[in-house]
Amino acid sequence: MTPLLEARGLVKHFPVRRGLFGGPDKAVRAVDDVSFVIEPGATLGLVGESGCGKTTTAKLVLLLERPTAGEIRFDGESLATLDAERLRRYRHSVQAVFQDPYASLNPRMRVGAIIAEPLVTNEKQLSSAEVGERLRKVLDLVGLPARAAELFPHEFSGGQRQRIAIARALTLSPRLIVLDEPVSALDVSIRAQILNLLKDLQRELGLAYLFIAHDLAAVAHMSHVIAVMYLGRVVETGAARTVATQPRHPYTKALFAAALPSHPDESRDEVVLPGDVPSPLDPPSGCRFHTRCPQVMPHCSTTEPKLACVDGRDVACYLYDPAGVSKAG
Amino acid sequence: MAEPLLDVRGLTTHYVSARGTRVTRAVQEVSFSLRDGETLGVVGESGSGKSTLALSLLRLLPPAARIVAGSVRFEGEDLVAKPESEMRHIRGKRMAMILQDPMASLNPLFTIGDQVAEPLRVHEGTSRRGAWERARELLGAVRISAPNMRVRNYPHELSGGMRQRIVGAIAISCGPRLLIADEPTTSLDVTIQAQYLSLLRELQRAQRLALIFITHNLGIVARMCDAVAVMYAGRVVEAGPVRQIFDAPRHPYTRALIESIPRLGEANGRLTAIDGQPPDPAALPEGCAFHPRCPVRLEKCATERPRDTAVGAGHRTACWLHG
Repeated sequence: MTPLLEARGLVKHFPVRRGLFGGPDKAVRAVDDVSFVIEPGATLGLVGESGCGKTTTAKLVLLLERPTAGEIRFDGESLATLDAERLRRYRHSVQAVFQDPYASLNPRMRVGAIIAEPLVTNEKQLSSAEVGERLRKVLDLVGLPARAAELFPHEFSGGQRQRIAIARALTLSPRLIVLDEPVSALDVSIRAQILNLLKDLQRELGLAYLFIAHDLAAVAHMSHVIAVMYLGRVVETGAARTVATQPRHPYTKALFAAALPSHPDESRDEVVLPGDVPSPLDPPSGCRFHTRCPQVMPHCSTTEPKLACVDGRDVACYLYDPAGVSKAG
Repeated sequence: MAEPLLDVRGLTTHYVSARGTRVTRAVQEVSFSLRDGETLGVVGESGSGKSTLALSLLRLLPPAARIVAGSVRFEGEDLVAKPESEMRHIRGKRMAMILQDPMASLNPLFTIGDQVAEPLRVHEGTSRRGAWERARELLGAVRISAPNMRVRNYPHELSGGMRQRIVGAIAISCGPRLLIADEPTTSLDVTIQAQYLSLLRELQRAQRLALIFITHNLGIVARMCDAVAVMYAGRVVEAGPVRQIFDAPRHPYTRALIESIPRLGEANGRLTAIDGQPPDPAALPEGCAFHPRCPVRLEKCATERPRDTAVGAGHRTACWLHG
């Protein structure tokens, strides 16, 4: 089966202007050689700390940024080769829901107009009755009453606003939805409602998700596949359960060990990483994690390890790749 | 048994609108106590009154808010009755606070050294040189590398995790007995959060600090706290030792909160969601404030408010199921 979306060697560098006295040109290497696959109807979870490049990756998928190198293939076709009409169709097929439902909905528009807007601008041949029909259908899908269409966003709570944002993403019948921190702005008791809704929609409509969140338990709960990013690179990727319960890369281990327990008796080996994430403007040489790694070896700082299959998932770490060391050494 | 460090009884704080027509009952009859070196987690969602509770303890409420009833006994004295001039000697010295956003707690125009030294100069009258010396030690204590250099930095030159550690250094500078942390790690990344929590643990052990964690995150409670108070719509609906609350929650809200959180390494089934949303604190429902969302409500829940009932050692809940 062809994957729905495939990223191959994606690179995005943001050039930084030189200072007053010149100096060499620099670039923020936000995403550096990232590859992944999203299967139809499945969820890829992107995990990592701020500055790891997960939001830039989402923007590349949404065509809000152009990659510096590498390509994205959708339904087996490279986006770079698509003509205007097919790019338009790609944009219909890939929608987004963002973190803050207070910022992402226009306060001056009625909810019905907000949700129908993608249809009105993109499917001009539709009659208003057809638009209304579709509007009622998506409102029903996200569990909002039909009269919600007459109201303004401020008349809704945070959880309901996020339902409105999801409804808007559904109007064009997309096949992939990019979810960038969709529940972090919501109250704890509301998060489960939205996560359940997203799962139900995935099952009913066969949607694929690119799920980005810093809440590791939520990502593990929602995703089929997880990719862990650190400073623009994927350091470990594999089936969600495998990566979450038996992480291999020292960074993944530290990340999941740092995740908060769900019970006081749940004792994890606490791996407290020293220091901060280095600047993506000037990432460390070799393995980018070596400055904070508890198991660092001499050659980690010279050559970068490649992703290789270990225990059913891909890891980029010399601990599991003795052959890579000898080649690098 | 010795008197607890902090003993709060029936604390009630209301916000009154400018014309006095609208009263928001933010904190209602909250009681709890805390001993030296103990950690209490106050858990609640936005609008549950947990932040107003923290501000009430320190008497740092905005002008529209008023403590209308109750007492806050700290080291044997009632803080509610104290004049403001005496409160100034307690705040920052005997009792300190860490807020969510370190950038908002630090003054961008002063160096780190000045800001860490300030409470020492104000409260203990330490000389400028002596206070700076102590500031360097404090930065070391909160694991800031190269403290001699960092004292001369400004807040914008530091990362978020470092800033929050600076705020921690300021909070412990005068050796307080009680530290109130309001969502201290919400703005931090996961691994930085883990660093910060283990640092707070160390400081707490070294100084026998009592700690109050105000948070919406039950994970932080599970990792850090000895006791929990769960707030809903301004009231403590359940309180008790952390293990009892996690193993045998008695209030339907507490149970739902614990069950609604996805767990690492568990099957990807459906989460138990709580229907509806938290009530508007300016228009609370009659009876038990949770009844419109409660899956096991009784008839009288809509009309009569349940009273606090003991359900175990140090474990109490306000629910008609146990009344």
